[in-house]
Amino acid sequence: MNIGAYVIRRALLMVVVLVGTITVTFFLSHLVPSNPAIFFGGQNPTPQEIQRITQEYGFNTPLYNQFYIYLRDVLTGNLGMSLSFQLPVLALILEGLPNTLTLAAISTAIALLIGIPLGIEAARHAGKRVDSLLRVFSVGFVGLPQFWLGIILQLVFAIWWGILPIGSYGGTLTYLSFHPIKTITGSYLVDALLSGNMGGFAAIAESMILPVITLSLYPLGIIVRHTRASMLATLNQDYVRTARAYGIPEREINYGLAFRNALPPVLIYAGLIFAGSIIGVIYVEDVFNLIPGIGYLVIYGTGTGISSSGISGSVDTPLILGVAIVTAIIYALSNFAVDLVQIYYDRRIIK
Amino acid sequence: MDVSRRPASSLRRLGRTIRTLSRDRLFFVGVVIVVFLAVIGIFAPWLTPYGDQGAGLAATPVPSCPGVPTEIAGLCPPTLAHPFGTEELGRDLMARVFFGVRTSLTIGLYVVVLATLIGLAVGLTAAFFGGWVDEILMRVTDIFLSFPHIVLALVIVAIIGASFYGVFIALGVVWWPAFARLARGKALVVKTQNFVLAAKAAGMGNGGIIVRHILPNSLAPLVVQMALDMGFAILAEAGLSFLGLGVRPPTADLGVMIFESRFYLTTAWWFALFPGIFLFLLVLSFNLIGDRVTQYLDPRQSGLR
Repeated sequence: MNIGAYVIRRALLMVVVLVGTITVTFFLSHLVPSNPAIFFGGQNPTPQEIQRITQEYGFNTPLYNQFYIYLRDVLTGNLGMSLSFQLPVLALILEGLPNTLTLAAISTAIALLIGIPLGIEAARHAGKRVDSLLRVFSVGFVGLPQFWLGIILQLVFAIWWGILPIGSYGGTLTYLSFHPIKTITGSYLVDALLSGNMGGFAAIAESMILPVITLSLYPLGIIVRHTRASMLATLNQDYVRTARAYGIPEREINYGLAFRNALPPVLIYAGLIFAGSIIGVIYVEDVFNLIPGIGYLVIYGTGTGISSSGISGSVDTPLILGVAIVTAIIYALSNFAVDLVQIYYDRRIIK
Repeated sequence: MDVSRRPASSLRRLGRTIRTLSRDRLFFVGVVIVVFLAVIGIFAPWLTPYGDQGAGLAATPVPSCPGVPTEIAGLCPPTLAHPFGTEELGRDLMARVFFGVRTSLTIGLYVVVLATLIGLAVGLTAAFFGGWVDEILMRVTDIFLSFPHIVLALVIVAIIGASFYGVFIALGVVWWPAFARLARGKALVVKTQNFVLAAKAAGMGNGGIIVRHILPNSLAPLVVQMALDMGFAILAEAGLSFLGLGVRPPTADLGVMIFESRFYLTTAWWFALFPGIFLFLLVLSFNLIGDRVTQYLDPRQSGLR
């Protein structure tokens, strides 16, 4: 099989998974509730609204027709209207997505930059004290609840030490209203940089320090563990022993020869971690009161974010389903990207 | 061929694994913490004099603490009578945390058991029948795997409603794919072994072969996976409850407590700290055990997700 055919096959598989995903959300939203029209209409829809929704989604037609309508809508980017915002779901998500992705990308990058060297060190000193210490830390990082970590970081750095702002969205927004940034990519941080608004960039960056720390510890732990495992496997290979016998410096063997071969398995996880950190961003955007992204939409959409009284607010179903579908698309694209990177590193897998 | 002895040999292998692991320091630490927390969870009603609702709001007057503003009078810093302090409604935080650990462990256990049952059903069916049944079931598994756990659980909870059972069902339903794959992989191996072929030749029915022979011999890796997943299931439950999509007040839940503590962060550090520490210990201890077990079973892969 040549590379082109392989890439096309992986792309097709991605499409199959996405259609499957849409099918799952369809079944969950159309079959589980007793009356889907009420479900899509929010808490107390008027009879007229139920009538309109029944017409729009074809709830009075056979199931296959409902599925056809749903599939057609999703594929043409019509994710419905958000109940709480009264705006199209897709527009809301596209507005929030750049900020969420910025946060996810920065924390994944930091986790890779710190995690890979630490993983290599752990592998070099396998079984020694450094290795055990790194293992304890990485297992610990993976077990830290991100929503709690964010709160504790706020407590220590903002309330006790006062060196960083506690929830700086309001402050940042005030600054930005006096020094507006052009919307280019939709990501506030990137746009501030591109439009040369250094004050705005600094304000946004400052508000992102604690969120990025909160988000990167979990992937850091995972990357250290996987780099270590992958490096150990390569260091035991014959060609590494040969290289040692030839007197190639240890540094060059570790960071050049072995590392290059240990990297691809780690990168597989990097893709998954990037996609997975979207979940972390949901918590972090809530905890830190950040510039609104996907997380803000979820908190709003569940209708439960603010009240702890036990009375569930109205659930914004189209919004929640829309976020789920977009997240699944990001997952699928990340997996696809990982496949491409793997081919670049190792042509053998296409056979 | 003595068919009945096969499960025993599989169990003996597990026993040997546990003996080797008991010499591992980190594994030991993990087990000690799990036992400690399990004791807290099981004996919570007897470990604190206050009960899960802190002896009720009416029974104890809201404690008055010197130096604390009246508008947050329910919140008292740690004292001898209240080692973790009290929370917003004046309830003893230690009692709440202990009962929260109980909730976490219960839901965690329910989730992995439900996930194992679904996974076993799907995995064994796929492996035993093979062909297009296998193909369809495994593609469905792939689709569920391609979804992030929490997002799918979020959708399900949004549909069936937030409650103790809502979060347990939602997480159980999204958690099975890993178990299905494991069960299928193991069952594919078991299926070709002589004692299964012998049972088939002796005229045993499909259901009988699956339940009597394939199931007991596929269990060991699933038990390991259950221990591994307990930590992540507990974390996911607390996360959903934190978002208001899980256990609802007044049930004691660590995620809900952490959510509530945010409103008093500037004055009541203990309210955020103690529930979080116990949640962290729960997740950490199961992860430690899982990490060491996987390391032992397959040194090339350390099983953190």
